[in-house]
Amino acid sequence: MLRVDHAGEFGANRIYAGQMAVLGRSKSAALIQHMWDQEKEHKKIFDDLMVKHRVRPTALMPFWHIAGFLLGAGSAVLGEKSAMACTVAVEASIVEHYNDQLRKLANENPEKHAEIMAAIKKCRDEEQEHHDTGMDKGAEQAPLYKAMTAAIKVGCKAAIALSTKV
Amino acid sequence: MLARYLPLLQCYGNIMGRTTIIARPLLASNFSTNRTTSQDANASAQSEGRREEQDSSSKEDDVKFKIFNAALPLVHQLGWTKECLEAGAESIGLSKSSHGIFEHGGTSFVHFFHRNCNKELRKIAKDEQIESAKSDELTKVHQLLEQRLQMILPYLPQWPQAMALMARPHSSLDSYKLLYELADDICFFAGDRSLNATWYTKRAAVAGLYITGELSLVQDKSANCDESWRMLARRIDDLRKVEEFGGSCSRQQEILKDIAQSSLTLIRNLTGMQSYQRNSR
Repeated sequence: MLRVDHAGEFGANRIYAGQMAVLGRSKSAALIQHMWDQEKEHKKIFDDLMVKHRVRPTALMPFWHIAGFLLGAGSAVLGEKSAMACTVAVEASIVEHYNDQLRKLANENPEKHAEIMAAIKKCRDEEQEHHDTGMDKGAEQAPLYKAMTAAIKVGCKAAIALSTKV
Repeated sequence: MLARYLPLLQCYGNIMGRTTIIARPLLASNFSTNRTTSQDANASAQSEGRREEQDSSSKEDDVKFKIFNAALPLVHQLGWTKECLEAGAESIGLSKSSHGIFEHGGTSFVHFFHRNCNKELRKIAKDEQIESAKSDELTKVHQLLEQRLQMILPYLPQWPQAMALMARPHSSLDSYKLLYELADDICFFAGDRSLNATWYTKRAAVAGLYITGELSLVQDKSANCDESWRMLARRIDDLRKVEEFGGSCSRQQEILKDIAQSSLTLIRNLTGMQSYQRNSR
């Protein structure tokens, strides 16, 4: 479980890196940088949890390194609104995923998993914030918004399924 | 059919005064296909991070450990076999058939030995506080590897038999798991905290080193197995050189980037594009 969260935050970091690489000098740069910094914090939280529980990191790390960057850069090349749309799609998938995990942990043993649940809650709340910011900045006005978000959500689901096992 | 003999077994157990301890493992080993001990269940079912929790034992583990300890000195005469376990059980007063607590005879014996050695290694690493020592990661890996390999020294003449038992197809999955645990423990206690592809490469390297060390020890004829220890030291040096090379590669990457950029500027100058850009600004 920690493995897929760690991989997810790593992927999110790479997506924002890709977006910054393309949109580094535009007006959304400050916003994207702020969201990226928050993702870096999330990743740090999961890094510490991974080491504490001696969890094996996903073997697909190099793959997510490249794929995340390409997704971020690709969506940014299509325009600022597309970059926001990509953010919205990814954050929506992640929030759903975190909620599933919280439910599962709460069903198993809330006291034992208190630390992990607190970490996931914090990250989920901030991801929700990113999602709402993305919507505010006009994600829905991006061209092909529905198709792009659907495709990205499917991709995220596949990535989550893979990283849990591999 | 075996059920007919159950009351008999229970009577026998009663006579020895250890009904529950004997009957349950016998039942389990005869009827269930699942692993019986809680330690095994922990290792396979739960996540990797709980190895320290496993180190606390249960009642079945205690019996297993007693038989194991009693059988170890007899390995020299009887090898890693069911007979050795039987003799061990007898020597501490348990019934001869309580060797059945080790499901697959000799193979389980060797597995338990490895698991025990790994446990000892974790204990040594914690007691000697290797993690917080000042030496670098590779030195700690070397230290831990040497200590782990020294644990098989007393049983070296029979070790080829043990290795053959571990290499059999039906036990190779368990052997792989034990090797993975060992490599993970060594890397963790040597201070590795990486969470990317190097996690895998380091553990693969350590596992490879362990296997090489084992193989070398088995056929080593020198005094105190010095040849093997020297070989291990040489392998660690090789790894150190690879690390340095990797570091120098990334430094060279920076240099290559600079060279690429300056050649591009040179070409732009030569073709006059540079002045064109400057003029058009």
